[in-house]
Amino acid sequence: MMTTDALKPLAAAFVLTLCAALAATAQEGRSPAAPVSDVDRAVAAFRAGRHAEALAAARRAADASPTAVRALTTRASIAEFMGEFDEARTFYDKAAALTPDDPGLIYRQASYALRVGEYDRALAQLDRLLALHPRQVRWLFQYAPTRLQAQLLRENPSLEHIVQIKIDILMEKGDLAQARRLAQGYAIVQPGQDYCGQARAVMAGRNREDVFKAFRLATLGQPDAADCIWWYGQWLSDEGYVLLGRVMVIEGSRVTPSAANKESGARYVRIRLGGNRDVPKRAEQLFLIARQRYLRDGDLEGAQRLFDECIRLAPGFARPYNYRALMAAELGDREAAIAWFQKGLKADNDSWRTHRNLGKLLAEMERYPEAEMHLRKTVELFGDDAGGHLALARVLYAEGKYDEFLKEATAAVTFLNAKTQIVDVREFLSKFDRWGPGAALPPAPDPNVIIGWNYD
Amino acid sequence: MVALGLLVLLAGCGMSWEARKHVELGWHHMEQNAIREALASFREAARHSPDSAEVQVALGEAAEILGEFDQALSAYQAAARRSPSTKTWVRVGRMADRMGNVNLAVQALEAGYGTWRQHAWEATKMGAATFGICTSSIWPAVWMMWTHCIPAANKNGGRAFDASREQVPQEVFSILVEAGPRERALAFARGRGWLRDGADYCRPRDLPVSYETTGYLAMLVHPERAACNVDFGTQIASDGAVNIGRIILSTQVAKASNPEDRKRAEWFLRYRLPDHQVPKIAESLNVTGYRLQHRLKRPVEAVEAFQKAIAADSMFSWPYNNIGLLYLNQNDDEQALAWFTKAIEINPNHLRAIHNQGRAAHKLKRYDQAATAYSRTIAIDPTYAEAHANLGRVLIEAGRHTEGYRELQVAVSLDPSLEQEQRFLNARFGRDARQGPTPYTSR
Repeated sequence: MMTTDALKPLAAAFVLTLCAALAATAQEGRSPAAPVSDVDRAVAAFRAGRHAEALAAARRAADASPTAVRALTTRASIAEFMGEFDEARTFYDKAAALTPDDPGLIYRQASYALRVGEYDRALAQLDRLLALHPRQVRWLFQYAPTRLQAQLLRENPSLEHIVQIKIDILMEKGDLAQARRLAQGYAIVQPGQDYCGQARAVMAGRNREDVFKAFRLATLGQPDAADCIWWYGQWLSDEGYVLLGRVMVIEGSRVTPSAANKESGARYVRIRLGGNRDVPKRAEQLFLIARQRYLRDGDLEGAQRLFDECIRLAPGFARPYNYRALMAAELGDREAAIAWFQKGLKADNDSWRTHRNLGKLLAEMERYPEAEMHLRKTVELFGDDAGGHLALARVLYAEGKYDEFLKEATAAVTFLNAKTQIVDVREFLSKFDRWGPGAALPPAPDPNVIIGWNYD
Repeated sequence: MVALGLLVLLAGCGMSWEARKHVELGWHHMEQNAIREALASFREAARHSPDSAEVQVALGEAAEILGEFDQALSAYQAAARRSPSTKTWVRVGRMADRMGNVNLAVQALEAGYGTWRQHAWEATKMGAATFGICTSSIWPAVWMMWTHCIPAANKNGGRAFDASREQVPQEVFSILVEAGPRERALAFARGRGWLRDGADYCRPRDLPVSYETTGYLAMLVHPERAACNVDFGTQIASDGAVNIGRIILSTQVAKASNPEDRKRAEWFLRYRLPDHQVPKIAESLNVTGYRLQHRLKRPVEAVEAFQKAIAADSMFSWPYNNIGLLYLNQNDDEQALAWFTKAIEINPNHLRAIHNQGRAAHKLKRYDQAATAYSRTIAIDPTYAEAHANLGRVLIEAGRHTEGYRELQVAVSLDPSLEQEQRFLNARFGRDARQGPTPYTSR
């Protein structure tokens, strides 16, 4: 059993994210100095966002000191962050063999188990963590009435993390009733609170994290708040949590009394989240990580490998094909890009984003008839896609189909008018109205407007 | 009779009616932050009542704030001659120190040590305050007054006595440390009873002196194991005391046994401090200019002080950089760029000036120049998050989007509090949810 002191690293592990936890060990002085060991180098590189370099240094450290828990854990943690899951598991196991009761390590193992979809293993690790708390705390956690739990969790942040992660796991497994019972039992949500109303109110403030929290609480505390549950699902879809996103959108559609909304929810799952195609948790996480390795880290080789693994694990999941295509296009190989998009459509012909991306690429290549076909499909799948309508309008204009161009562009402008400024498109339409077609193609901006449709 | 009485009263105050009027006008100007006008009023008052200590002190203060050090010193000296109190001698000593006049500074400060009675008064005030706070917190458990409050009052009163007694001697000590030689400073410390056999001055116990004094003692007594002095030297130099900062860090470079401490000290010496020992007066004028600029919001007077610092040492790059910052804040970016460039010409390793050169060029939309300056900054200090963020912005504005995003990414990794950059990247790439496997854990 842990003493209060022993709980400190656990609390730190919970409270700090991986970045911050690793960074915390490196903040020794205000002036930069060369780190002395490979572990320090790894931490410093990770802190500076040089993740590939960090992993390389962590590998050297762990290879040089195979019995040093810090080196092993650093390697495992960075490997997990970068989606190198097999490597992460190997080194977590090695570290755990040396210090089986290290709370920080148990927490990271729980996190890892969750990454790869081993929910039961993750829950078991969380229970192990719970068991390391002092007896009286555990007793209160188990038996104290709900009105005392809020204070207990406040005083023991590690307990709150355990509960919150369990709630995420239960929701992801689709057991919403149990997740809600847990949230109510530990006073995470209070009866009679209008979380959905609060979510709508904070949306005006544009603090994204506050909006996110309010949606999550609404989902847990107001089972009938169909709109908020649905919005939460769409939000998660943008963040890359495909599995939980599906659960939420399906739940929102189930709860809503409106037949049109039910139909709309079903369509969303079909065209944005791959319908009921199998996407294992490991594939979802690999995709989510690969995407950021590509976009933020510029690590093409690493990202490509993860996308390929993702495709192997979930061949019906269209998103990784899209990214393989975008990477090929960035490298200048447009034909390869088209081939990847086509593979994506073969895997999931209802993927709105794949039709859209393919249509836009074909338009760039001036292959207008093919582009028109895919962009028509795009706006057919999602009629409120203003960017899609504008892209289609541009292609129609290029083909000389001016009446249809006008119809598509006007539809987009009407839709976007209240939400965003697209001055250049309006100016083009006004000139077109006065003088008819000109030599230059119309602009086709692609503004982000609706939560749930912005990121893949 | 009345006139005679008034004359006697005025003589007692040591100030004529005319002088009184100008002094009051001077304080009014000071309250209005019109320091130049205040100085003029005090000068006028001193012309009317040159023997008034009050006038001379006021004149000294205004002159000191504006960097008119000669006038400030002579005013304080005149005041000390007329009214030789502890406080006045301390003013003389501090002013002389700022001007680099070591002997006068030490001599004057030694006259400002204060009497036993003054220290005892400080102790009594602190003891009474402690007792009052303690009693109110334990009330009505009156017996705890004996068990808790009286011991606490005694303890804090004793500390206040020691602090009061050692305050001015510590200033003398710091002057001696800076002026050298080491033995003189050590002899002074020994004389004050601050030296302990085998003591670790980085972790001092029961020494009635400040953190700064123990830092100096660590440097003098055991420089090879004075790791605390890297941060101490860095901090004191960042606060403007470049010379003593240089001495502390140079000692670390020469004598620290830990190679990492040596490296950190070396880096700071090279990139964050002037490349030579700066005359004390130039250092003080630069600090004066900084205060005028940032605390008193008097940019014109600040520039004058910086110009005097440059006149005292034309190779001291800090005042050039500070003038540049002043113009940058006023959106006079051309002037700012010119001053930053001068600072860098004088000291090509002046990290802040290089970064600021990038900022000025950036504002002028000279993207290549800005990117070069930011890149140089980053080459010197790869952990400089703001420089990465600025480089990212400039690259994006110059159309080099991919490289720009990478730099912004590095910036937010180094400093997650860079909210604007974080928001920009999130809007561009979606939220980075790599931290954890579920929505809750990734936050």
